[in-house]
Amino acid sequence: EEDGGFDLDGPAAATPASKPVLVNEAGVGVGGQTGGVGRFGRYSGGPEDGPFGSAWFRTRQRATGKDDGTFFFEAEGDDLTVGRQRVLADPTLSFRAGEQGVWDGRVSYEGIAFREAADYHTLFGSGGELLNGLTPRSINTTASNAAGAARVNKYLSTVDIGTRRKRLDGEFRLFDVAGWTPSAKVEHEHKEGTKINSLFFYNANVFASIPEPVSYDTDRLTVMTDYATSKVQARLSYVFSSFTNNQASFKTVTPFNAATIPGYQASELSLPPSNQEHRVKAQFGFSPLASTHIATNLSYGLQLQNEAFTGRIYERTPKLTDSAYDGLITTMYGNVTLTSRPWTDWNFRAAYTFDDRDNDSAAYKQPPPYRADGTAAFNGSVGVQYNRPYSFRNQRADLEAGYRLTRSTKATLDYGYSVKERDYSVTDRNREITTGGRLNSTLADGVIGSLGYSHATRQATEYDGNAGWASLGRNLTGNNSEKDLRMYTYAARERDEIKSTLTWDAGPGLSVGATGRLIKDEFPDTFFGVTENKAASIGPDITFTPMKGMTAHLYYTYQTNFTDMVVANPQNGNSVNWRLRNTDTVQTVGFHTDWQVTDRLKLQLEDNLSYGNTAFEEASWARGTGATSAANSATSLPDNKSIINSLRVTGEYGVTDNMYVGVVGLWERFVGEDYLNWQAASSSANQTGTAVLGAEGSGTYSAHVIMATARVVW
Amino acid sequence: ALAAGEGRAENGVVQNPWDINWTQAPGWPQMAETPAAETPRWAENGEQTCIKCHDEQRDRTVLFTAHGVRGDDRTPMGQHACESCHGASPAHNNARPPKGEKRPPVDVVFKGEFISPVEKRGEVCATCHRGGEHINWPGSQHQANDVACTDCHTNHVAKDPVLSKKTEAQVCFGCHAEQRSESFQFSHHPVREGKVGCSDCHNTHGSGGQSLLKEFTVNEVCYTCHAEQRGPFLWEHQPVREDCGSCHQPHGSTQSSLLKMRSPFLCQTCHQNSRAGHEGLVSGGKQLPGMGNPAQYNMLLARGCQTCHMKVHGSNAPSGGMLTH
Repeated sequence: EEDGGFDLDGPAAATPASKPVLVNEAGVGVGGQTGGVGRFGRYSGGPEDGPFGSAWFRTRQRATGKDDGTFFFEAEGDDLTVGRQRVLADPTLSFRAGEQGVWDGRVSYEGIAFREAADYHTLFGSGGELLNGLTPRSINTTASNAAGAARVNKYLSTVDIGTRRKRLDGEFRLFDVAGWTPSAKVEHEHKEGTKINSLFFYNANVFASIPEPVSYDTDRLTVMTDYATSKVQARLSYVFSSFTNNQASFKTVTPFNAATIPGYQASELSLPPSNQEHRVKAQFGFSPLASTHIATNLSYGLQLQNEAFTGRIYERTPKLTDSAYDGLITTMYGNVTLTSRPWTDWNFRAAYTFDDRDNDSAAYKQPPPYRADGTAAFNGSVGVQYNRPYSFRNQRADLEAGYRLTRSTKATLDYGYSVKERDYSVTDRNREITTGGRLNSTLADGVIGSLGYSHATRQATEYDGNAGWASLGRNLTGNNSEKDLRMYTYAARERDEIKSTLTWDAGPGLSVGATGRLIKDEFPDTFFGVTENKAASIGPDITFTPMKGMTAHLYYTYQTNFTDMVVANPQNGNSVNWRLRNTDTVQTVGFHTDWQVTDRLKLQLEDNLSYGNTAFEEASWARGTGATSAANSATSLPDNKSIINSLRVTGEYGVTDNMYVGVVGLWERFVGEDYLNWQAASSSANQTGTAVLGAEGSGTYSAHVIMATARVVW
Repeated sequence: ALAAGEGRAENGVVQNPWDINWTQAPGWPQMAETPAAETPRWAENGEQTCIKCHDEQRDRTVLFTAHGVRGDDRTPMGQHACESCHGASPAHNNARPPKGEKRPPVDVVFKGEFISPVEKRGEVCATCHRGGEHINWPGSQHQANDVACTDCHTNHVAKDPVLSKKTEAQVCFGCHAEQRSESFQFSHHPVREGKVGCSDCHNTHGSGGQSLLKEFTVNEVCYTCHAEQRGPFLWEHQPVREDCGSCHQPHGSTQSSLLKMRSPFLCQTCHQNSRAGHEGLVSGGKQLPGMGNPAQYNMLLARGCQTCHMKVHGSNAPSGGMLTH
């Protein structure tokens, strides 16, 4: 800033009126798309090719003068698209108005589409009806029955699978009501569509893909009030959330001609039950000293569900004492955190957290046989079934101390101790101790780095892999016993983690950053289960100014995750244990540049290329007495790959100070190689009819969009 | 020594114990308290002084934002104009450096060569923005790692990019490279599409729970949009009730449904194939179409284990104990 020689005591050189600030905008775009498929724009809902139009606006008005009051309003709209989908299907609209410091109200609407699959193979409609005139029990299910397969092919349909959310919410807030800021927010969402699922008919060999119906309404009311002074802050809130499933179950009649089941009327799949939640929260902040803060967060909630039981396969007469579930979960959460900087160069943090889930739901005893038809109990289960009221209590304490060694170097040590206790679980208790430290330092002029290391030891007690089976009435012994199973999320674990960051402000117009992270897990108690897990990521990030008017950003990220596990396969006389090694690798590189070519012309170029690869390495790990055969010799599955490249070019020219015209081009290419693509064949000619799989087919696509835009600002 | 609840008398007035700075009591080490500030010398003409030089549109846009409402005494423009945030800066305002030399910086500089310490920048914002969602800011991950408010927020614009779903993620991705990379995977929340923002799940200003989440637990965050998974269910799947993150990777995944691994391998991290009829899960090569019969390969294709155990989030059917109905 050079001294312009202005008169400090004179009038301002500029006034808002002479150089208006442009805060309003409206624009339209027209364009076309080719190569669209379900996976492209899966959140815009429109895979169709052809012309389309789009519009947006942002307008705001605010009284800013000393005597003008404080009224304001803002209105915004985005994705107001026609052509590819229905008008107002997926737009964002919001309106906000108020008197700043007095009241504030807002209303907004948002549509969100999600297309899960565009070529899903099924014999059913979402209402359970058989498609294309297929009649019940008309498909022969004899294994490898060519006639059955042909009949499946004849009636198989290809349908779209996806959902659309429509959200409407409103919020109103008052300021400074006796020092408090009360507010209320009401949200309503309707979600409609279908999602991929499957359904049993008689047993595990007779099932088929279905489009599960989705018709949900979710309402949420939040009443809240805030209080804030420099020393004391408080937030009290009550949240009521109600979820309503407008369709409690998916009901259909089997198209397969399996053995006659006495009393069979229909097959039914239970859908998510309607439920409610009440929750009160209290949050407090207290700063007894300028350098000390105590935050307290408390929550108490009730989760309720009392829907009629559904999906009672084969049951004509209820066997339970109730016809509806009396579900009640009580949740309690508490967290207290003390943060203090009592002495120059020192800072401390201590926290305690309590998280409790108490399952007070009804527990039922279901004596065998629990089918009403008198046939053998489902899947051979002849014991008494109980639904166990699973509960847990988590507690955690954290301590952290930081000391600034020099003006530019700070060291931090931390310690954490956590206990997880569970009822009716395969592992009833985990304890974990975490110790670590990190160093943040200015390594050189403009170079800032951090390096952190932590080690965590998790202990587990009472492994009982058969607990779940026991509740289902099964008594597992011998080779079927899973008492020694170590579940990944509960097993004893030793974890080492290293994290680092580096930023270098290399000079005018150039900054370089890099992040890295490495996690290594070992599971000392595990023989069957995950024995090792490793994850790593690293990537540089560069922002630079190659020439006047141009800024560029370049990044690269490499991520990998490796899991090694041993899987028991103790079938009598054919005992082969397997080793599975799964490696996910993702590499992403991107480039973005803004170029102000002239005062009127601006260009943007953005490209992101991501490569993902999943390797499945299977090997026989230990062999029992069984003879080697093709069925028990491991062969690795083929790697799955996905490559996506998305290139966007934008050019805009200012015709006047208030009007701009431009062009947007998007080219996106996705290549997917996945053995799941083989399903396309499995659901047609190769299928016997006993297992009709969904088949999403290959996801490969190449889509192009070009759009001309015009916008005005004022 | 003072008894519990007793205040210290100063000039004959008993102070509330909470108002006493105990760290200034004799015997304590040097405290990290801010020294008493001199009376600030505010510019007499308010923002008019500043826009004599700083008169570009981008400078003056702040006058048309919530910070620029003079009729609201709480706002910067209702108090000391630009200096409410940038500090009283008589040295900057009154300097007459020789041509070619720069003026001394203002008291609080938020970006650039003379940037102020993060604590100083943070104090400016905390003057007004305290309480509410900021209750847990002290000691939070961002605060502890010296992230200043203005590292994310831009005030001299009509619409702060970090407050818009369309642009918020780009601000966050500036530091969170892993999450940016994951957002480009086939399976992702519609963050890049501008339909979900990072702040729909995270409270970047501090949280009473883990990972700066808006709610206190992972599952409560997920239930906000996925209330159908909340239950309670007659038959529960324990890891699901404990943490959705046991199986899902919320920022993006190479597997469908944001899964950490694909089925059956994900399921096998906890469940082994000891049950009769499940050996086809790993009989090498036999799992794929044309290589065996469907009873074998249906465990690997479609939805893997969920082809049969489709109610992994819980079942409300009496016969759904194995999450199959």
